Amino acid sequence: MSPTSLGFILFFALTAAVYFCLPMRARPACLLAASLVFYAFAGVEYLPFLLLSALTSYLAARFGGKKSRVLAVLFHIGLLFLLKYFNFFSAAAGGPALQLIVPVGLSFYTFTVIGYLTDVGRGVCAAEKSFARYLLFVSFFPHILQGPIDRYGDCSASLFAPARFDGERVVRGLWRMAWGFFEKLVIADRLGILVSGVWEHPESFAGWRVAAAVVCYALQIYCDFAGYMDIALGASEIFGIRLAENFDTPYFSRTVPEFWRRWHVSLGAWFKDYVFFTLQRTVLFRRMAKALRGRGLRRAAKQLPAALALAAVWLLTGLWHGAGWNYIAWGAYYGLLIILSMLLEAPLAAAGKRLRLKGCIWEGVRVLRTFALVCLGYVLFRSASLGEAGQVLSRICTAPFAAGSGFSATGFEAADLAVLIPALALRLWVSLCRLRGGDARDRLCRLPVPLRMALGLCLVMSVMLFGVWGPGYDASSFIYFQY
Amino acid sequence: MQRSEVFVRLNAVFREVFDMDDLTVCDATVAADVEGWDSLTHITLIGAVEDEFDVSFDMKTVVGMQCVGDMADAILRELAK
Repeated sequence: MSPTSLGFILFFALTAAVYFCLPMRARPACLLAASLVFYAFAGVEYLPFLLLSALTSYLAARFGGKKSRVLAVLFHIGLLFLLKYFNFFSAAAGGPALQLIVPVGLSFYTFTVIGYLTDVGRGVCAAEKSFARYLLFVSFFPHILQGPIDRYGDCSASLFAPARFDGERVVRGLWRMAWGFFEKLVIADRLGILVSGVWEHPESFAGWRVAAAVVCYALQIYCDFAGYMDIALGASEIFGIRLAENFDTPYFSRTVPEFWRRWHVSLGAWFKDYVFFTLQRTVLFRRMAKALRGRGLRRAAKQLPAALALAAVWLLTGLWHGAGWNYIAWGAYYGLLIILSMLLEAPLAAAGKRLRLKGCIWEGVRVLRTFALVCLGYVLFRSASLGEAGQVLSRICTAPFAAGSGFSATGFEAADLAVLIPALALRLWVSLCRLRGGDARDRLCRLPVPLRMALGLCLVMSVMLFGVWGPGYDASSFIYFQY
Repeated sequence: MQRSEVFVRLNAVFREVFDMDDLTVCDATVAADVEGWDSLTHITLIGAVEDEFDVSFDMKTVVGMQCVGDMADAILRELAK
């Protein structure tokens, strides 16, 4: 059941109605039942995997010691590897392929439970006593399919506390959900028409059109993923539940490391806390740093272990996104950029000071440079293979102004552009509100009620009139569903 | 070891890790106060502090350190063991 389907809207409305009609103490149970039903709609055959994952991690954290928790983490890594990556590595080694079920949301909930087990082991949070409450944490329907990858310690308090009906909060949640629908259906899916058309036959288009399609993909994936997050976080807000924010205007980042602190925040934080920190704290890495410090190599002691840990983190980040060489190359690309950024940070800052590079124009140049590097990464990310990525890049570089088809050959018409321009302007305004430390909803809430209602109606009508749906629309096509 | 002595040695470690000869930290110093103290250098700093004082922190202590005062407390706790 995709969040942009009519089925989801009905399911959500029914869940909210039942939730607020029930006595307070029964409300978390209502959310648990709704979450399991929601997941069963994605595929009943996936449900045993989710329950197995929740049960094993619950038991290991609640009743086991360090050994049990480590075994549980290894079990989850093994299960993820088997279901998602075995066939890829087997094919690479010329081995057989297995007929395997890959449950939706597997990568997300596996990371959630591994994070929980690690936090319990580190003493960051206490093990949950109630299996029902823990199962709700793992399976909560707004975050089970696409994240955010929540931490038990951060969201458990609001997740398990039954919420009273609060009209203002419900309206704010609905605003956010409607905005998510707008981002996904009006912007992302409309851009997707152009992007898919160009990517299918890059050789038919001039290089500049292919480059424009890469930029459109950057906007598409952002509105697709952030749109889902707005639907998920808006839905949670209605129940008084605070999930982790996953985006912080990432395309305004000045450096690539900053971009990754503002894009898919919960995944980046997960890799930092559970892989980067863990690797750096291993005996091997600590001995390496100590040995380098002992030889007076202070800079190497600081940078070499961090660079090695970053390389591992980024290869794993690439793999997490998919079992394919293009994802591995994409992870390696970011690993290289971030390691270079770390190594060159001090000399570049010194050079910038000497050249007196500062002010709005210089900051703008840095933002554009980072966006260009991110777009280059998207060529690998969007392509089905390294060969396809090579074709796209080659067309951009070798035939920038060659004769070729127009965008209308993709099915993207002037009317689509006429819808996209104001929609993207609105998206930019929301980002600028956020950059100024506010929330566009705060501004809307200060408006007179009739005007607020009219704007709300306009937003809903825009989604209905200008959203890309109808015959042939695949409501399950959120980009991050596949991960 | 006295807390003041811990801070004398901590200052030396901070100066070495962050390459800032005039850096001085106090109880209330947090990551935002020191240029370059981010999540990447945090673990390097912890390793250097452990070497300096010959102690070893567990991950709960490492992730729970909010300021240099917490770090000094953790060092004194480990030294008292």
